[in-house]
Order: sequence, then C-alpha cells, then structure tokens
Amino acid sequence: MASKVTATTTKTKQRAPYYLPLGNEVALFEAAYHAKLPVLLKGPTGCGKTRFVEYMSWELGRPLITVACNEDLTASDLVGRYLIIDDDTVWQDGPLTQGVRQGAITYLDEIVEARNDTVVLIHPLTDHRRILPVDKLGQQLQASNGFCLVLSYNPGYQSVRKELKPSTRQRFISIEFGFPSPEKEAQIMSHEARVDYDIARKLVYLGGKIRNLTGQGLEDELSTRLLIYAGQLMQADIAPLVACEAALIQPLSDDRDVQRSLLEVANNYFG
Amino acid sequence: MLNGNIAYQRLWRRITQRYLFARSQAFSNDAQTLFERAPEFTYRAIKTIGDERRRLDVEQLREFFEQLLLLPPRVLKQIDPKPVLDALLSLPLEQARRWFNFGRQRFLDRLNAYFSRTEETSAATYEGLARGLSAYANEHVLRYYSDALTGGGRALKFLPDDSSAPFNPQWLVLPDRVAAYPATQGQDDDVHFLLFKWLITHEQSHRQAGTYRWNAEDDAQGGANLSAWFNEFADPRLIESVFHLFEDVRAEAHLLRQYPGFQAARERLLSLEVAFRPHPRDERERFLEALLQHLHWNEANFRVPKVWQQALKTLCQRAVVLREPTAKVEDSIALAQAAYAQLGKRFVGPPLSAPLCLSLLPYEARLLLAPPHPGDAPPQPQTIWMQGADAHLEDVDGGAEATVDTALPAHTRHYDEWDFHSLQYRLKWCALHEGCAPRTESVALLNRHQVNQVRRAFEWMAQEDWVRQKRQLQGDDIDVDAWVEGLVDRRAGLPLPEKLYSQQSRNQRDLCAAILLDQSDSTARLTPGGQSVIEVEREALRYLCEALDALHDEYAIFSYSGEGRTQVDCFALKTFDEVYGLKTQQRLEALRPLSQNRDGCALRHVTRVMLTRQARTKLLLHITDGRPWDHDYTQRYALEDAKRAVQEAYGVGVKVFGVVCDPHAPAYVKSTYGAGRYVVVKHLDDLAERLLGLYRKVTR
Repeated sequence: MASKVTATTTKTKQRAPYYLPLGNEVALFEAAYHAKLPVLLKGPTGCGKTRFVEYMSWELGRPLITVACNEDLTASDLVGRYLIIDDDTVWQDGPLTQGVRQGAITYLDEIVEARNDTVVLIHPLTDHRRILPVDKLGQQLQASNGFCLVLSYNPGYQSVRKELKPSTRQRFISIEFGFPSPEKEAQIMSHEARVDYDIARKLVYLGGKIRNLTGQGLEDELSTRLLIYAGQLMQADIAPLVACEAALIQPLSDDRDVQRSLLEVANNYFG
Repeated sequence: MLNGNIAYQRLWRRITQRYLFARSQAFSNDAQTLFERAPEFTYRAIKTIGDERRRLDVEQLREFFEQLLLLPPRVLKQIDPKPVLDALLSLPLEQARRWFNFGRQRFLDRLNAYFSRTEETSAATYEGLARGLSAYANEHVLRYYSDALTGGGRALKFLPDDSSAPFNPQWLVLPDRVAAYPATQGQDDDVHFLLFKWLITHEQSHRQAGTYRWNAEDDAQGGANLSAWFNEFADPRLIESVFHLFEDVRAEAHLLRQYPGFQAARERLLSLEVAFRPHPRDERERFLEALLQHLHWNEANFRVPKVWQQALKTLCQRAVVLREPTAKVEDSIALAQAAYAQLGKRFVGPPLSAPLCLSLLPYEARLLLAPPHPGDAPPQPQTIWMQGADAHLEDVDGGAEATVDTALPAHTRHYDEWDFHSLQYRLKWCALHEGCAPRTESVALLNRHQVNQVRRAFEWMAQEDWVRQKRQLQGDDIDVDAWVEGLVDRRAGLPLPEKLYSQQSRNQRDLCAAILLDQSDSTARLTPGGQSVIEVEREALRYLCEALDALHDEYAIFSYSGEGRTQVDCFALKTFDEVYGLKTQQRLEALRPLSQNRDGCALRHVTRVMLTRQARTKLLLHITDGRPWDHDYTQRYALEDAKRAVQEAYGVGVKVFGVVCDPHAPAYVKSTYGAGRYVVVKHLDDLAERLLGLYRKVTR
C-alpha cells in the first residue's frame, strides 16, 4: 500500500543549522517548549519557518519529525497502521505516534492542507492531557516530556475553504514570521548562497521592489528562499540577469508584462 | 441608408455585415448624417471604405465618420477620402486624431493638400506622430515597473505633451508618447522605452531625494515652498531653470547609487542626447547649456568663450558636492543662487516667460514633471473626479431609460451602528431600504470570445471538483488501500472495517457567495482607460456572473448607496434563487453612480441575507472604490463601524473579502478586512481579470 504521508525524521545534528533570529521567537519557543505548550508558526511561504523549527530542535536537543500535510492525509497516516511483514502482522507507528513516544518536536507543515477530520486528531495532544488516542491498539499514549507539537500556517493563503478553524487555532501559542529587514535578509543571503555581501544586498533590494507588486500582478510574495536560489545560481557563474529571471521572475508570474517590468527592475541592479 | 442607389446600399450592407449589428451602429448613424449633408462625398467615402473594409475595425470607422462630420460641407466637396482613411490605417487612433485636429485648425482651406501630405508641415507632423513610442502600447509594463519602484504610492498618468498637468503628489506624469530620437536601425522602440523607464526612475529619485520636501513634510507643500522661493527673484523662471539643472544632478547621483545597473542605460541615453540638444537662442542660454553639458559630459559640444571658462569651472567644482550621498536640496538651492548671480553679472535680458530646457529629459517631459507655478491654481483631484461625474451623469440623463421591477416588494429594515467613541452600538440607528435594482432595455454585448474563455476556464475548475472519495460505506469501486489495511487489521485480530469502497463524486463546494457593490458617486470618476469606475465594475461583474454560472455556485449580487442614516438603499441585482439571465444583465447595465456609501449598514444587511442560506462556507465579496462616507459617517467613525460589521460577519460564519478599487491603496484596508482578506486593485482596467482570479483563489 502506497504511503501518502511524507515524514522525515531528523536526529539532532552536530552542527547548528544556520538561523538568524529576527526577534524574540527563540525565547518564545523555548518558553513554550518548557511549559509544554503547542506552537503555531504563522508566516508566508519561504520566510524561514521550517529552518526555525530545525534550529530549535538542535537548540533544545530533541529529534525533529516533519510531516508535509496534504488533503489525502488520513488519521492512519499520522497515527500508524498494521503491516504484514514475513507472514505476520506488525504495528507500524505513524510519525505523530513516533513523536509522542520519542519526545520529539513534531512539525506538521502547512496544516491547512490537511482535512478537518485529520486535524481534529491532534486536539487531545494540545491541551493539558497531552494524549494521543490510538484506537487500533486500544491505547491512549501519554506524550513524553520532550514532545512538542508545532504547526505551520500561511495566513496569506486567501482561501475561504482552507482556513484553520478557530477551535484549532486557540489551542496554540502563535509566533508570527515576516520577511527579515533588508540588512538581516542580506546577511542570510550571503551566508546561505555564499555570495558577496554586496550582491546579497542588491538581491535583497531587488526583492523589496518585487514584493511591492504583491497583490498587484503578483499573487504571492517573493520568498527569501527564492532570493537564496538566485544567489546560488549567481555563485555558480550564471549571469546575474539570467539568474534573476530563472529564480525570481519566472517562478512568480506567467504574465509577460509583469515579467518584463520585473526584468527591467532587475536590470536597474544588475544591468 | 443611402436611398436611391442600390449599388451603394449593397456595398454598405457588405461593410456593416463585417460587424455585429450593435457594433456597426457605432458608425452607421454618423454615416447617415454625413450622407444627408454631402451625399456625393459619402458615396466616394463608402467606395473607399469598401476597398479597405477587411483592414478596418469599428473604432477606425467610427473615427473616420466622426472626423468627417467635423468638416463643413463645402470642404468635404474638395477632399479625397482615401488619404484620410490611409492615415487611420497607418497611425494609432490617438495620433491620427491629433493629425486631423491639427489640419482642421491650421489648414482648413487647403485640407486636401494637408491630408495628401503634399504640404511640408503636414508631412513633418505625420512623420513625428508615426514614429516614437506610445506610453499606452507599454502601459502595463510601465505601471508594474513604477509600482515596483514606488510601492504603488503614485499613479502613472499619461498626458499629451501639449497639455499641462495639474500638480498632484500622488501622480507621476509621463508624456503619452516619446519620439525624442530618430530611428536607429529598428532599435528606436528600445531607446524610447528606455526613455520612459528613465523618466519614471528619475522622477522617483527626485521624490526619494527630497526635491519636493524643502522645508515641508509632504511633496505638495515642498513644491509650493519651492515655487514661492522662485518668485522671490526678479526672473522666477530663470532661477527655476537653474535650480532644476543642479537638482537633476543630485537626483541622478541618488538614482545611480540606488540602481547601479542603470549606468549603462544612462550612458546610452547620454550618447544619443548629446547630438540632439536644443540650440541656445542667446548668450545666457548658451552659458547655461554649456554648464549643463559640463556637468553631464564634462565638456560642451560647442565652443565656449574663454571668459566663461573660469566661471563654469568654479560652478562645476562646487557641484561635485551634489553627487555625495549627504547632499541635500539646500545644496542645489545654494548653487542655483550662485549661478543666478553669475548670470546677472554677465548677461542682461528680459525675464523668461517659461523655464528653459536645462535637463537631460525631453523638454516636454520636463515640463510635465515640474511642480506647479504659483498662481496656476491646480485643480484638486476631487474636482476633476466631480467633473467626470457630471459628464457621466449627463450621459445617463440622455441614455436609455431604466425600468424598475415593481413586482418585487421593497422592505425597510433597521440596523445597529457601532459608535467607537462610546464603545457601544447605536441601536436600530440606520434604516435600510431593500429593493430590486432598475433595469435598462438594452444590454451592451460582451466580447463573446472572452466570455467563452471565462466559462471554459471555470467549467474546468468545476470538473476539478470531481474527486474519488475513499473509505466510503458504498461506492462504485473497492478502495484497495482500505481493503488491504482492513485485511491486515483482521489478521491482527481487529474487526474488518466497513468503509471499504471508493466513490467518484463531486467534491461539494457547499459554498454561497454574495457580491456587494458600492454604488456611491465616486464611482463616476474615470479610469486611465477612459471608462468610469462603475462601467469597469459592471463589465467585470458580467464576466464574474458568467464564471459563477459555469461553476454552478450559489450567488447573489447587491449594490448599495444612500443619503444619511435613514436612507440606505440596497438593491438586489441578482438574488440567490434567481437564474443568471437577461434580467440580471439589464440590472447590471443600469448601474449608475448614486450618492454616499454607509458600508457598515450594507454589510450587516447582506450578512443577514446570507444567514438564510444553508451552505457551509459563506463568502461576502465587498467591492468598493474608497472609504465609507455618508452624512455624519466619516473618518474613523465610519472605518470603525465598517470594521465592526466585518467582525460581526465573521462571528456568524460569513467570510468577508474586500476588493478595493482605489489606486492609492489606503492603509485602513488591512485594519477593516484583516490581513490576507482583501485585495487592492490599482489598475482598474484589469478589474475583470483580477476579480475572476481572486474568486478562483479564495474558493479553491
């Protein structure tokens, strides 16, 4: 049976993942973790939510289990199922159950993509009980001490049919992410893409101009991730304007006028 | 038409058959009037059109007859219609219109020679209009470019170079066409596009560098301060010219620091510009032109008398400071004063009547971009809009009569209003009168091709909603995943689950949408495309209706306006239970700007209507062109009430989404609708496209 769940488990790394704090998010997350509170990370695509969770997992010394949510995700996919192995039936924990048992930071990415009946499953884990009912085993698992449930959610998703229900939202403390200030974004760029600070700064300023068109020809906001891609292409000796077109312009719009105008703006920096 | 000549009647039928009947009406009436005035000429004209009919579109034909109707019958007898038609076929419509107007004003007695372009002036004018680049041809790219640079804070306005722009800090004014440089092996469009780009970027640099913020907090006041300072001099236009000469250097340095990639483009323009500098008319202009060229090219392209050289050198050395990041507008002012003093010592002449062309920009562009002169009494934007409103209302009076569906009863309902001062509701404060909107007899035709495209796209979207639902009690197929999992569970000692089937079924959107349209008088203002906001909105709504019809979504459309708290009118253009058809189209067609907009009351009413629907997801699209505004309902009071109404709607499960047709993206919008729950449509001519995209996105 094909699995519909994409879950990755990351053991605590030797080296800290690169993360540049933008505000008090690190202190907030630590406080939530120690108080055993679930955390909701809000922010646009590509602003660093996943990297932040990786960093916090390293900082707190806990393993990280990441689940990319989608509308086919079922309760069994999260909790677990029996499998036939060597003519025997063997229970296989799902990623959520693994997280509860191991005391891992369990990260459900883009939770609004999951069906509502699946989302309800996490409710008992998010209040003082911290339990996970596993019906097929007839058990209620008590979450280990290190367990921390983290959800990510993009409020700019703009779909009335895919919203996080208030009854779910109110179970989490929320940390809001935006795009970093130009100086910090340039620092991130020069570290991640390994480009000169000067190029990183130009890319960040260009990014700022492109973001001015969000909602005005561009549906989505330009992510820091795409800026890093552009820097990486430049670092690989791709001509700057070609890199900008491939990494910043084409992924954002199919509209020829928008593409041309953005290319003209890119020309102002890299022409 | 054309009584008495069967051959021409047939030809006329062949011409009009190319177009839909309604569209051919656009020129048929004018053709008839022309025939009544000058039958012989009209025969000739129709014969000429017949030869070219495959190349002509409706707009060109309409223009053809309109232009001819402006000529006296005695002149019509003398002219050949062929060159007139040729001009329409070879020039963009706007340029052709200018060429005709110029000829009519100056060459009425020799129009045939003018139209045939045997007159030297006529040929030169025609040549000037035919080359160059129209801003409208690149409108979208230029607007997106400007929005990216400015953050959308300023609206681009294209004006003919012979007009003057009323100063408005919210506008960035460009010539509607540039033809500054001759064709260079097919690259003239590139160069002229670069020039447009330079104009936008250069002007943006002026604003960022604070040119119009001298001793002021905003651009309008700063511009006025500069004008007042110019007027303190004996020759205000001269000091203004000299000031801009230096201030351009400072703005340009700012531009190149911000956009280092612009250097190559600048050099390209400079290399072209040096050959096309205007000829100075006297010694004073010669000195200033030499100063300009020294500042930009480090030398002049003409001989400069030795006695000037020291003065020029001193001014250029002092101007170095302008290229520093720390330079301020005060530095340009100090240098302008010094140069003005030098000019006073060396040259004697009458005061200038207009500023000199001391800029790298084409002269006409410089004039358009310059701040106002004192005494110009620039009209306020509101005044312009009101002029537009009046013009529109006149059209309405003379237009098709509207009828009202009297069969539908009108109700009056009372709604509370939130008073943020006392933090409590004013109970039953507003009286809302609901009724059915009036209808017109005729309905404008939509572009059938586009309608089909929209319907196809949304039918496709509807098909996407067909999904195979798994783990069902009954179904048309076995759910293999569930079956395998069930078997495994049974081997583990658990009972076999019952939900083992899959079923292909429509993923019920279970959604109803209400569209609430602000019909206030401000929707009479004109968009850059020349239509009023309400005209653009009603066309966009027609397309949206086609889309929703294809999607089979349950929807209703309401509009509202009013005058005071006891007279809030809300009209149903389409109710939830009505089928989209001619009646809805006629009601949309009858939409006209009315009075004020008391948003909170209208939002509460439509929320109430939506609560009667069973759908699980309820969406309210609020289309408005600006702030809520009514008697005793302004500023923060109105905003807080509208915000409260949106919150109340959310509280009962109605999701409100704002579509704000205001080019200046007001800051209050986010607070009213909440983050991610609104969209600001700055380019109103794209409203239909934006509305369709938005609906698809929010309901996916």
